Amino acid sequence: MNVLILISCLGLLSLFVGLSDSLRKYSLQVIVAGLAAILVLNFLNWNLENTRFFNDMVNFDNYAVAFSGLILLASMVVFLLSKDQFSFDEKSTGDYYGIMVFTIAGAIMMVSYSNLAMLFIGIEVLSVSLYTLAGSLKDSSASNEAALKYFILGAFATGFLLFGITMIYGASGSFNLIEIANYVNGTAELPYLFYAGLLMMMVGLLFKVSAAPFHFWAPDVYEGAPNIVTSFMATVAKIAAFAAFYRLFSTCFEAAAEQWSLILSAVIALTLIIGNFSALAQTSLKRLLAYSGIANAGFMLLSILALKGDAASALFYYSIAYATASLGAFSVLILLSEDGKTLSIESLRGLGKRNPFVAVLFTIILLSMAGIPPTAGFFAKYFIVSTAISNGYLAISLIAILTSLVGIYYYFKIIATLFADPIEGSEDHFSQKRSYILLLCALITIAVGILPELIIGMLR
Amino acid sequence: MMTLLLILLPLLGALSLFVMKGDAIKKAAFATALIPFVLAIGAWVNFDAAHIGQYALNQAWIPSLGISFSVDMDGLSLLLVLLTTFLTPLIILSTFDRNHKNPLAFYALILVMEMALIGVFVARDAFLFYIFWELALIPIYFISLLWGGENARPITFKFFLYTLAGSLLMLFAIIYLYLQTPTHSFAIDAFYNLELPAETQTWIFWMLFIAFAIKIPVFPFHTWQPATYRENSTPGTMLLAGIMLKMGLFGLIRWLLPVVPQGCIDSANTVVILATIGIVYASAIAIVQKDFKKLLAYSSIAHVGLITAGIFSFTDNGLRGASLQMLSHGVNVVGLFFVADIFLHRTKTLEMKDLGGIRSKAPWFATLFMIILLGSVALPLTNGFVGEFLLLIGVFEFSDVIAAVCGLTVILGAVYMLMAYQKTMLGETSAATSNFTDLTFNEKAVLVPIAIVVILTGVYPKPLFELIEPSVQHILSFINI
Repeated sequence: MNVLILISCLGLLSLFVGLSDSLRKYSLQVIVAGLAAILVLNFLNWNLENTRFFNDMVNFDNYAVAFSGLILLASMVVFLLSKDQFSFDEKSTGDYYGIMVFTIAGAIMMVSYSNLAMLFIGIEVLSVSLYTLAGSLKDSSASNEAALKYFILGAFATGFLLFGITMIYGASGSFNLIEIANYVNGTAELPYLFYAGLLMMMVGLLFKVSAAPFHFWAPDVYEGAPNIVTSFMATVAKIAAFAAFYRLFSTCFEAAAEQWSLILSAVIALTLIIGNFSALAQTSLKRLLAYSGIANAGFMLLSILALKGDAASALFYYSIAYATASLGAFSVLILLSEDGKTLSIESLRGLGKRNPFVAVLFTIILLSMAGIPPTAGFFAKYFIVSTAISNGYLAISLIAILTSLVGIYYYFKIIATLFADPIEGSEDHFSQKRSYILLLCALITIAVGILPELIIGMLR
Repeated sequence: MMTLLLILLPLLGALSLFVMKGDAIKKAAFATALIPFVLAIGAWVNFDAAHIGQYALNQAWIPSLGISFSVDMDGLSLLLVLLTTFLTPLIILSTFDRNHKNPLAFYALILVMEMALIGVFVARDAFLFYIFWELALIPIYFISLLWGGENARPITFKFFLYTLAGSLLMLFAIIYLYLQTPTHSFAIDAFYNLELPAETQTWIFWMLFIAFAIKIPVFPFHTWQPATYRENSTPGTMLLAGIMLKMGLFGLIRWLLPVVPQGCIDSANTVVILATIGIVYASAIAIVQKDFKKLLAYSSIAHVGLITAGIFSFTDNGLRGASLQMLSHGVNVVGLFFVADIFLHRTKTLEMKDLGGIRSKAPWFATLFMIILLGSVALPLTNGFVGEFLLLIGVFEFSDVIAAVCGLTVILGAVYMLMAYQKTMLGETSAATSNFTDLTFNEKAVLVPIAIVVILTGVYPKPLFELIEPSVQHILSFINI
């Protein structure tokens, strides 16, 4: 809980730092140092005896600590990438950073809530901040469109979520997760009101994780928002949404699994198919990453379907693999994008010759996204699928495995483009560029892939 | 320890290339590829069939999920490790007179490929086996893509997706099998003692079989093969045909027969018939080929079809023949693809009608080509004969009709290979071959060892049989017909 207070203070601090012209240039250092300190404090909360705070609004158990740690780490990487990314609006840099830090506060609430009210507040803090950030390129119509689209659809989904919460409250008489769980486990015949509430909450959450058929906002918002904001949405926001989703369903709704597992299976199948097949047709790297994010959401939902056994570990490991690979890919995008232009996959042709450093590291990241051993992406997919199979979900697991073949196709098409001969006479923009974040991501991808034991033991 | 060393040495070799420059790269690659071969020979000399687990290493890797880094070499593994470590230096040597762009990446990939292949052959843990299996695909993907011919890109994609589709089915089957083991373990012994119900065995069988069949390739999963062999660079084709397809055959013997024996027995008829169709079909197409490299590709389908049929006879002869023929086919096909490379390099064509009259120009070349070719058509006293003879006996014990069909195609094989020799080497010299020069030192250094192995194995195969016999008996002990 100290993490939650500190991160909010850090947000305020970064606003103040941004106010003064002389201090502003240090705001990035202040935030990264602050996040590092909070990260250390966060892990001091590991294995707390009394995990409940604020009148049982927040439950800082190991699950919450692990996901908070991941969110803080991923945010740090995003901040490191964000150098010069807000140069279009120099004077307001502090505001953008402040809003980003508040987003993290929302994310941490979402992974540690033990009361539906807290879940709602967390989601709202995160979402409202992201709506603002998505529109931060004030002069770009795409960015404005992204913000508006995200806001309208997001508000709609929040409405669903809130309606669901009230219905659950109406049925169970409580916002508290434990009491709802007791109600679900102790009632032989659950009323329709409860199921309606459950379904509404599910729709709201599925929207937040961009699962099909609630995914339509994602590609446009991802594409329109500034690169750095997209990388933030794709990692921090998505992982928080999944952690919240899993926490709710594993704590409260396990006993009712018979009723919702079929719907969720259909959603997963749809998400995997739509995400992967739509990605095939993409020519812009950023849009492709958006669709691959949807396909990944399908895999992560498998852990919510499986629910038992190693599902929490599997989700956590997958989140790490996904965050590392996505941040690696976004660091390439940020590195190679020129101002205001979308980076097409075709423009990466010849990168292998002109800049083998970036090309080889990017290949490792793509191998991980495609799920090829020995990278983290392979083990993540393996772990989730094996958890799902062990809980009896054979057919949906087979669909997940087979659709990942489509994923392999488009990731390897990028790899083939990277190493194709450059177009004769084309200008060389790339050869001098280096990204140490990319190097870091590639190394983590391999290390975590070879030694998964380090992580999967954490949440057992 | 020995086994781990065999896996790690090629990888270290690949890394060591990064400090080299210029011509030193290929020499260093060759030298580092020779060391594992010497080690493998040493392991063979010291091999003691009675001592089970002689080269075993068992290290917990992901203990909470029952995954261990478990490797060992029995006779069968050792035979294929010998094949891999023997062929890799020759494949590297075969490139000495050719210039490949970006040699550093090229040789590093070949060595990484060697590591993955050795890993596949020695893994005793299904998860580890799968990791190496997939790992082997990455270097060959890049070798095909970057050093292949003009149409390499779409063809490489087809090959890659085809084999990966099979791999993913295999992964699904492996996870399912893992969950059926009482202790939740990927260890090979746990897989061997599963005794699943017959219906389960049948679908597991097909999932695994398709994965292996695509790699081999068995008819009707072969459609990626001819174009991939044709368009690849010669070292790429050698790796694919010489070693990589043995992964599939090895998988059948090690990871299919003992794991789902009932499934194998129930589906054996289908498999043997598919394999036989493949043999007849590929031989028929080979006869009408005009392009020498394509002819070799189709003849390879015919050869591995016979090996597959032999494996599914579930007899001692069939399995011994299959093991030995894996070695012989690997050696011969690498030799023959190098011959094709020499044609292409000297005359810029692979059309057999444009060649001819080379024998008088290049006696060394003609003799060595002849020896390897005779091995390939299974003339007595060459390596091909021993393997194919045993395979035919094995298939005969399974079904005499099918053995008769297979026997006829062996004759067909002799027909198209000898015809190819006649068209390319004998007769009048053509415009393309009038300036044909004999082998260089490096080229001899590749073909002479191959020719020696062809003859030695044919004349005195006994040590090889002693090597594989216990493994074959062990595998067969799981199959009760």
